Amino acid sequence: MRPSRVLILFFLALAAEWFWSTYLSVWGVAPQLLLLCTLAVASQSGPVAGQCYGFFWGIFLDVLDVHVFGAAMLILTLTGYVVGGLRRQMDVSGASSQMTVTAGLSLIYWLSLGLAGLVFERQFLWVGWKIFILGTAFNVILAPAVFWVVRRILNPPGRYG
Amino acid sequence: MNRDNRAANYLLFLFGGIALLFLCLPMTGKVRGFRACAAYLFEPFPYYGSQGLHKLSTLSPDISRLIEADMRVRSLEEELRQTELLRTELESLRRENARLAQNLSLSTSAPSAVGWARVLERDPANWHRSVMIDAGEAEGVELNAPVLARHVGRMAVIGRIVETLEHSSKVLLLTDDLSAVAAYLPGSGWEGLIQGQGSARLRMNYLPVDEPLHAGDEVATSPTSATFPPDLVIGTVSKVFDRDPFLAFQTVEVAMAVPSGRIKEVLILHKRRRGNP
Repeated sequence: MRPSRVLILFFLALAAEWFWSTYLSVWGVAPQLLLLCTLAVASQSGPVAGQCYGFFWGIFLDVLDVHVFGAAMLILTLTGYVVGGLRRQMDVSGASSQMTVTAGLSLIYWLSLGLAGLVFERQFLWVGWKIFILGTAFNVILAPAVFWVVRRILNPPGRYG
Repeated sequence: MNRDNRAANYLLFLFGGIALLFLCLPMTGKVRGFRACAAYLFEPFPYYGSQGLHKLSTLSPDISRLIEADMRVRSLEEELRQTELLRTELESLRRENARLAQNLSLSTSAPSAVGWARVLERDPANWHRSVMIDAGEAEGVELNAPVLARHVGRMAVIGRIVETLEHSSKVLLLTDDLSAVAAYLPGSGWEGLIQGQGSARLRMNYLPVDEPLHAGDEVATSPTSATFPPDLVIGTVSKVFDRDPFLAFQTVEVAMAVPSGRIKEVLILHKRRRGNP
């Protein structure tokens, strides 16, 4: 990976997350793009890259949160580790498999955030049914596009294809 | 492959350890310091992004918009003339009110505004909890300053400032579980405590058991509130809960006058200082 492309992906994902959640939310719900990007990076470049991106994107999400500081860092790092470690065992090259993995991990992500609240703040930080269902649906719909963009940035066809 | 796996495991210990450390540590000065440092590093991102978008959106005003603007200016000039009259009347009433309050040994405190700010960013996972805005210490924003927003022609309270940076601040919304505001029902005068639920609706507790309460009753900030000026609209009663025989008070659900999902621009007031008009 070229450093310039690493930085481009990092800041592009931050910009997309910020812009979408601030200006393009539907009924107060926006896709969790940084989770999708962590998934895409880990499935294509392995657990090291997945964890690095996940950790630093997690800091960005945690800065916004008034509750448990560190929860997004931990969950996205774990996502990068697990997905990167299992990438040889599961095929996420097709849109349907990308959407299935995204659906599962999105639900786990929302529940893990709540669970982090329960463990470290003694109250389950429930995101609400609307975000739990619609947010997951948005993530699933966007998953193939995000995987494609991440692949184009990290492995441009001119270099490997 | 083994080297990659080893590196991944080391990284997991490092990053996971750091994250767990932040989760376990209480909010001490060092944790706050790291958080402020991270916020400072990320702050320019949404701030300049928002500024850039705003400039882009105002770059190409076409002729029809100019004509529309001219018509609006004329209409506003007419409104301004009427407003001047009202302002004179208001000044006269304010002076009279201050004089009467002084005679009755009451303290008065009229709220004054720091200014307007735009919402910079919000996290989907914390939709009803907090928002970042593009005004900070440099613009005169103080901790615990009340924050209002406008929706369908009404100004209403949405929260208070809980964190300030140079050019941005974090607003804790009334809907957050950590929020609690003294409020009252202007129609009947009964006072209660508004508490956030982490969802779109608020809950108002400590209302008298035998008082008939109705959906649609307006709810406003109480004069006894330590943070908010009195009589600012919060919302309306959306549901009266069944009376619990084991509780000595009634509870109602309150719908915010400005839904938290529709907050785009906010008005920040000066922090309330009691007995200091």
